[in-house]
Amino acid sequence: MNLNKLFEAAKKAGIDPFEISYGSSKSLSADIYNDTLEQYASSNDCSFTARGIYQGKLGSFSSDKVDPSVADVMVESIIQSAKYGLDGNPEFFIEKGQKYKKVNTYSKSADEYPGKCMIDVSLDISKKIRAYDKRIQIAEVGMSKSVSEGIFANSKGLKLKDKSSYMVIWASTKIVDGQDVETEFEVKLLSNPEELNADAFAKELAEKTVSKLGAAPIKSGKYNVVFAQSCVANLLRPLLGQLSSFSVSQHLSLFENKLGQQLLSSKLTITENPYTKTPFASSYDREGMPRQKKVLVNKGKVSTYLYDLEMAKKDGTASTGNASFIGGSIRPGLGFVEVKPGKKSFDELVSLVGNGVYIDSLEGIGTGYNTQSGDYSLQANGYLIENGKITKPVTLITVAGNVLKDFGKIIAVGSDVKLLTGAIQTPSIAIKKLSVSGI
Amino acid sequence: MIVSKTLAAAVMKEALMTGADFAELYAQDKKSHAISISHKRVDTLKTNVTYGAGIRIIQGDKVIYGYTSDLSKSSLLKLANELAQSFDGKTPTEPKPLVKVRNPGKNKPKIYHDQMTDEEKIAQLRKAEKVMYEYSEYIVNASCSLSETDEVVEIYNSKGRFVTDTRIRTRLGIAAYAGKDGQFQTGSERPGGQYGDEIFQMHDVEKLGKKAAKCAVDLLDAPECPSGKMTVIIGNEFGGVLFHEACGHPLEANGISHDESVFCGKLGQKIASDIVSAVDDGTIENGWGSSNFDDEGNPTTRNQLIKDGVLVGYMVDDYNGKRINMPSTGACRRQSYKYCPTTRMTNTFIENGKSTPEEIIKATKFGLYCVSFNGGSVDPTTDKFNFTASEAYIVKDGKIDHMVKGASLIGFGYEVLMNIDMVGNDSARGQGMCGSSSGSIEADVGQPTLRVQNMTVGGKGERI
Repeated sequence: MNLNKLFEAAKKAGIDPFEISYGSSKSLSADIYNDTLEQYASSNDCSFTARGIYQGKLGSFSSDKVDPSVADVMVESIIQSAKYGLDGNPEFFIEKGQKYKKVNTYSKSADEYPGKCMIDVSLDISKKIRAYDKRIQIAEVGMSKSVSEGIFANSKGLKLKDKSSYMVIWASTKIVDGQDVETEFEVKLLSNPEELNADAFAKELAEKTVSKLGAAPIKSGKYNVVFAQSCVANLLRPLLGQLSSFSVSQHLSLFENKLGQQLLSSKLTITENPYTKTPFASSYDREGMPRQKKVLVNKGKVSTYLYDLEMAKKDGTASTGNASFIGGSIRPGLGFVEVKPGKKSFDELVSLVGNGVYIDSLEGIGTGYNTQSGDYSLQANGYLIENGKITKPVTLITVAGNVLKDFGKIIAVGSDVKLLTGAIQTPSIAIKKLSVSGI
Repeated sequence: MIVSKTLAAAVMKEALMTGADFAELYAQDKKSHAISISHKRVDTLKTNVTYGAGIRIIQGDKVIYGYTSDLSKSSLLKLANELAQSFDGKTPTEPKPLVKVRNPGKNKPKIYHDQMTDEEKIAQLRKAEKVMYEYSEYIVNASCSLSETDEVVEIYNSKGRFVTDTRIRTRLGIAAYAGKDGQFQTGSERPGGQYGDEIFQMHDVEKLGKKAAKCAVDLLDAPECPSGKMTVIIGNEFGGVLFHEACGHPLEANGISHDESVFCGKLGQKIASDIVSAVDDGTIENGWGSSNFDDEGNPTTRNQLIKDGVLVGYMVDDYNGKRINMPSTGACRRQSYKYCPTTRMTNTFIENGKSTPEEIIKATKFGLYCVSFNGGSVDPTTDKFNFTASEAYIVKDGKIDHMVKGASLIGFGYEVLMNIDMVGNDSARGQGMCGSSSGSIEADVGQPTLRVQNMTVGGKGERI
């Protein structure tokens, strides 16, 4: 892709300053159904987003099309969108000269991992899962790898490059015992193939699958709940998105005027760390500003809002390196989040709860969770906790609450940290008295 | 033309050089234009181009898929060659000569997107915005959006089939955000269809705005929904998400062919109450989920799924249809060229029954009346589903009593279908986006008002 042609077209049209965020990626995936390779997919594509100021207004354009003719469409679209766009400030298209902390998110071994190995490993995992218990009728396994290269450049001479890769392994199972049919699912994000312990992955999922036989609803009532890491992630991350200074300025944030206040449990400390060694690490934000590590919630008190250059100027502060491209505009967005682990192991957490429910999956997140109000009412699965131990599997219950209120009554934070695909790393968390609906 | 017929033929030939059974080239050129007003300003006015092609090669049960946004001859032939290396046959399969299939030409818009200026469109959205802010002091944001897509797809396959289809879709999003004493609630209306900017003639944006604002404000003071087992009346139109989740997904052939649906092997059997009949219909003129051809080039159909409670059909694509020995029902879809297509829904709805909505409410001593929904999800293998009401009321002694918030409904889809005991005569369809393995696609859901006995309702309120 010849970016110079796009810069030339923009300059000729009077779009100045001008910026392009370009990305190319290649990926490979293999999907196994029991003993059969069912789908094998590869891709090699690129896309770009262009942004610029035309006659004092901001305009933008995005495209997968990379042939020379796209320059004219790009110019026309930016001019058209700038007509009604927001006022543009050239100051927010930065010069070069910032200091960036280097991150390494590219793995040669991931990039060069042969497709045949992906297939063989997936077939082996499927075989091992089904061999664990003959009632496991189906084990679908998929593995993928993706390598991306990005360029972020503007007409003021800034040019940043990055190269990254990641792999994903996932598996889903179906177990049948008489009339009882249950399914399970697991997914793991990897920086490189060496991180995968295929035997352990297969064993863990197989054990979990078998343990769900006989799952039934429980009586409706108030229960102490231990949320698994994935549930904590699904509930907390959207709430933390309201730390955007833009949301605060629009009176659409539950954290408005709440800096320094004890809003959440003192057992909760949450950090945004762009440099933790995960596939989510990055050096710069969507304006080219260096990313920054920061404490978002310090022992339950909100520490900071998130800023891009424009919001920082409005509030008389500095950018926090959180610029994201959201819905066609630059807005502050959340980066990689880490929930600080506590000292209790998972078993100790369960023992501490005594009697309650361990919820290991939540369904309907996209519709049953109002991320504006923090209210949620979601289908849940998990296990009963009786006398400090995990006992019977539980299914077809709902758990309802408000995220801000519920994470204000934490019993304890576990030490069992897990990296999740949603750009968050968190342990399990036990919470007091949530509404559970069953029978 | 996105890809010339000559090039497509060359791609077919290259893809089959190692003896696979079938090859397909799917080329897409889609322009998406979005305008939104939010935070009292034009917040978004952007154009996005989706442009690329996917090549699918099948041998037996094995599917190889690849895609690229570089549609040059060298790029496409290279991709076809690389994918073909997944098979090791020595004798190439000869593709049949490509013959263009006539497009029935349905789903044309009355007003094309370029016949209205952005200024005119913004003026329409501003009307809805004004009404929402004027409705109540508690409205903290009024968000109004218009989403327009103009798409051309070309589908070529080695059976000699070549189709093109133009899909023009338009959707409004009118959402009100109400805030009071540190809490927020939302209300929204999102009509759309496969038509153009006549959407502004079909829908009164001010009425939509007022409805959205009223819902958001009413929810601020509504008590929490009680929890437990209840009789539930599900409203028409977007209430159809019940059927979409509880039954629609499990009737897609990709689950049936892999023994991953609770309805496997149940054709001819009673799976719902006698008063339930349901259809998936991709031929509805200007339907949000409609098209002239599906995304593997087969004509869409009106497909009876359930008739008087008996399962009579599945939704079937060619690949999964071969596995279960059933013909395609024109139900193969994908979000874009980046996805391998599979069986999906189009416009899926329960047909009219005999009761009126008023009779259904009057016949209910105590229950929950869910008027509108946010959506839901399902595990087709177990048929455990969930969906969330965005507007719901308690019904007492045959009358709508008071609004409640935070109601979610869960259960086994096959139980819910059997527990439907009243079906109304006011069937209507609502628009949504359905997510699955081949991406996010436009789909209508629909039903008349109906009543279900003994559903599990989740909420923060007191236990029933």
